[in-house]
Amino acid sequence: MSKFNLITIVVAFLTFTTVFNITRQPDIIVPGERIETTVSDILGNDTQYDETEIQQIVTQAIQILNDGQSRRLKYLISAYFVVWLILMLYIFHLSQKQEQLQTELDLLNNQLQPDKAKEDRKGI
Amino acid sequence: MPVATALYVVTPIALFAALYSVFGYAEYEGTMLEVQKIFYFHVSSAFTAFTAFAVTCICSIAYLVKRCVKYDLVAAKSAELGLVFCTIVLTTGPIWARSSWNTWWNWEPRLTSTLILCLTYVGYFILRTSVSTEQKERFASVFGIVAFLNVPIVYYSVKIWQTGGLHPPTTTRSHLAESMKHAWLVSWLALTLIYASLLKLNIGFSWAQYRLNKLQARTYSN
Repeated sequence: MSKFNLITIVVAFLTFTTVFNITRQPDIIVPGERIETTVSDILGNDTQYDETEIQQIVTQAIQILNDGQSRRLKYLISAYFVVWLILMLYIFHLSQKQEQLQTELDLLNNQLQPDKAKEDRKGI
Repeated sequence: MPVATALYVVTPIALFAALYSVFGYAEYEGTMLEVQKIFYFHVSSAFTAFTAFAVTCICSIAYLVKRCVKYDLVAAKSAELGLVFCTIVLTTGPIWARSSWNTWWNWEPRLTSTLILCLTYVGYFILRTSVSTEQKERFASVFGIVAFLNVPIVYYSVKIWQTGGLHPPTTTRSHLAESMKHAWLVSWLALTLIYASLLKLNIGFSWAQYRLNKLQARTYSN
């Protein structure tokens, strides 16, 4: 693979990971006290609800969302990695084809003009 | 600026814009959250594959009418790229399905017809390598036209076989939020540009190879 292709692949991959890291949704991190005060604020003086029970439910819901996020991100990253990998493998296949073509051209050039080919190799 | 150079300049910009619009601009879907973002490249790849197969079909017809080798070459290279994008669809799909439907694969109409489409074009290349040179182009062109009939079947499979398949109906895209619709259109454009760039590059190599082969044949026969 030529140096140019390798650089293109590395730059493209780095661009993708940078964009992904900059823009991905941050983890849901809510401290316990914050849940308590928010639930109290919403309920106010309404006594028909059990405040502790609601706090537990909200904490549990946040925990589920939190745990689910890493699992969802794992699938998302895998899918985009696959897209990248397939396209890169195809570009690699094209670069191999180009190299093969170049070899065949050199071979033909050698046979048609042996002296000129020697000079080309010496860089004259 | 020549078309090829413009294409090679615009494609990375479009790809960057697509990645930004998918991860930075489009809103999160309420049920699937982050995983739904697979949609943008999964569906766009499917549409790009359909475009590639349509180009193969058109060029195959053009070859049968005009008998110009260049049309056959474009048809073959476009089918090759269609297969690449079809592979992307068939690999990202199960990853999304595992997360959303809790299964890697399901023999529902859309999935099965897409797999058949992919295998049909694998058959197209098997045909190209197994037939003698004189007849190869003609047979491949006929195959390229017939194989394209699979594309509308894949697209309308959800409508044709309403057997409670997991894929949503084709009208789902019109119900998307505005930001999601924009991100999808940008992604589709980016993948179409990648397809066009790679096709241009591949045709260049293959045309050079074809001319080289002719030259070699002439040189060795003298």
